[in-house]
Amino acid sequence: MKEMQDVWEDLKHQELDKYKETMEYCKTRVTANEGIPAVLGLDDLTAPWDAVWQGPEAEKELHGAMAAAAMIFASLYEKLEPEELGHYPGIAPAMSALAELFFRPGTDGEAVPYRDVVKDFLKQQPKAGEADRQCETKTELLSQQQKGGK
Amino acid sequence: MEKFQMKEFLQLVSRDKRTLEMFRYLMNNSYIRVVNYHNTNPVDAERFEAEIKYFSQHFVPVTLKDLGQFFETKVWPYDKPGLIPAIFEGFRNHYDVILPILDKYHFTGWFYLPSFFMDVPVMDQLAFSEAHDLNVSDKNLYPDQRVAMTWDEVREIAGRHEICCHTGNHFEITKETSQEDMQREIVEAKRYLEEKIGREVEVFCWLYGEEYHYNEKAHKFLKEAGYKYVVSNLKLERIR
Repeated sequence: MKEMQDVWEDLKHQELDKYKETMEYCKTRVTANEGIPAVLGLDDLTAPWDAVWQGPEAEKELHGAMAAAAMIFASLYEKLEPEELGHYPGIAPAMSALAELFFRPGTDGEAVPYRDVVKDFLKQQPKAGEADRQCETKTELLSQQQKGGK
Repeated sequence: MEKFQMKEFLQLVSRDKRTLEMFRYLMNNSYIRVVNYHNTNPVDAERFEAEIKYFSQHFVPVTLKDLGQFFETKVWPYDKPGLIPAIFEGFRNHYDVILPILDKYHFTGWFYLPSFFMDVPVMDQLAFSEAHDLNVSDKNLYPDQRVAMTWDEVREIAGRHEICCHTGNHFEITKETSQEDMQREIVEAKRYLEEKIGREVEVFCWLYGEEYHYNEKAHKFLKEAGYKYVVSNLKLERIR
């Protein structure tokens, strides 16, 4: 199981391309008509804040990597211009991008992305710029993703 | 190939305290996956079936009872992770298209309903949808123009799946929302939904990611209404 220091050490060696690629893919999703994955934190306001939770056995090797990836996605989204991000913090779209990349634990301990679930139904991804033209503005695109059903 | 820059990273992730909260939840195993659906049009039925079938093979469905046990014991009771298909807005195409798929694979859906949508007269439902940011993606799907579920359909769903309150009128509650509007959209919306389905509604879901923690004015109304869980686009909180 990854400890906190392992996660911070892993962070230093990350290459950002796969995260950026996932973010580009997220822009092409159509929130109104597609299933959009996300990860929700569970917060028990009736229990002590430091209560220890135990997840499924299959996630034992994955949740530390997910924590690191969520922070990387959040930092990348925070770099966007305010008008692109809307009034949401970068962590909001980050938790959906995280679910895209870490949709479920695979048998080899690696994460299986959501795209593997829906690969037979994916449309050709638009080239850079085309995705933006599908909506009036980038802000509208981001806003659609971040609403995430809410 | 761009490399990770620790100093810049730390500056960026400390901008909003919710970012580090999410880090804590993930490190502490206190999280759950959801897949959010809005319109479930017949044209996409094949895709939805492939998705739900896949979910049933790799995840366990999550009932409110399962979630309650996880919150109570802090131990996830299954080998596989849980997944919640979250189906928003109370559209008729949910009953017609995704409900039979969920039932076929015995996978529990969580249906988030604006409580007063079902009572809007059929001829006014498309206009109501436009006025309340309920995005009906295929306005010509139903010649009779009924786009909301009927109460009979909702009651049938309530027998096998989870019903959650998504305000009364698909209403955005902010810190500036009046007490009267909060009473209607949080408290009365829950009571009306319960009266119609004949069972308790434990979950409230904000629009657009508002959060319980960040809206103290709404706190009083959520407590008064008696909700147990509050859902935003970042977290699911147990409040009692």
